[in-house]
Amino acid sequence: VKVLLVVHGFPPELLGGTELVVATDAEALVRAGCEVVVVTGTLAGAEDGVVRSVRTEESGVRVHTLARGDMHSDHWQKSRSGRISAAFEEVLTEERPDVVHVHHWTRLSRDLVLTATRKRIPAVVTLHDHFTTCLVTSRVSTDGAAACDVPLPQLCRALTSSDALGQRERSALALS
Amino acid sequence: LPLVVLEARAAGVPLLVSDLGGLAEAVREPVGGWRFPAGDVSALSRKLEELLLDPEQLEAVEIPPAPSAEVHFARLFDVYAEVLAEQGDCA
Repeated sequence: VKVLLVVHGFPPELLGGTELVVATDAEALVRAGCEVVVVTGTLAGAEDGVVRSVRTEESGVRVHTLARGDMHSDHWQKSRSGRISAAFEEVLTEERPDVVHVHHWTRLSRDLVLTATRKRIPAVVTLHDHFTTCLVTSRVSTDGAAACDVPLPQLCRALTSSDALGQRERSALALS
Repeated sequence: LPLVVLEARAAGVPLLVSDLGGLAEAVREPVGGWRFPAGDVSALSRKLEELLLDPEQLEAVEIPPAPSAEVHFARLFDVYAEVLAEQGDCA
């Protein structure tokens, strides 16, 4: 079985919990006899467009890195990137995995599952945090003092109260 | 989720946590321990005092087993097997 794991960052560049789960799963899958490919984002954004690079770990895991120059994680409407989708589709065409496992799509694009499905590749998603409904990922208030009590699908309080977001962005969010 | 939550559970130690974020999911009173409202120092103080005065509560609490890498990995393979079996239905 060939498994393609997707995550927003990967060691050694990023060492958070989700990244380590993916790295651990990747090595365990290799030991279990699977062929493993990782597609990861990076904090090193490309200045223009999307930059792809690939390397092979000692374990045999092939790691494709997609650098997205226009990434702004505080703008929900930018969570989809057509360029990342196209680059991801290229990787799928090259690698032909049996299954795609999306662990996170921040820094990448929110339509990765759709992209895989269109190529008739089944996808599994692990929801490591609340990113799908909360841009700060935790549904904890921005001052860290309380659980967010804004019922879904209302707008996130962190977004609606942020001075960084203008009326135009709020309107766009309300329409999305 | 703080690792100390998983470490405590693995060691069979009850938890006293605020009801913030993943902590609220980690403790389902009375299973696993107790929760207090985040930021409520008095509530935390009261519960600590209660436990000090009645330590039998600590012995009585049910501690669920800590999630293990083995169980996680077995579930992962089950999920992959399931979606691969359904591949023909992938629209």
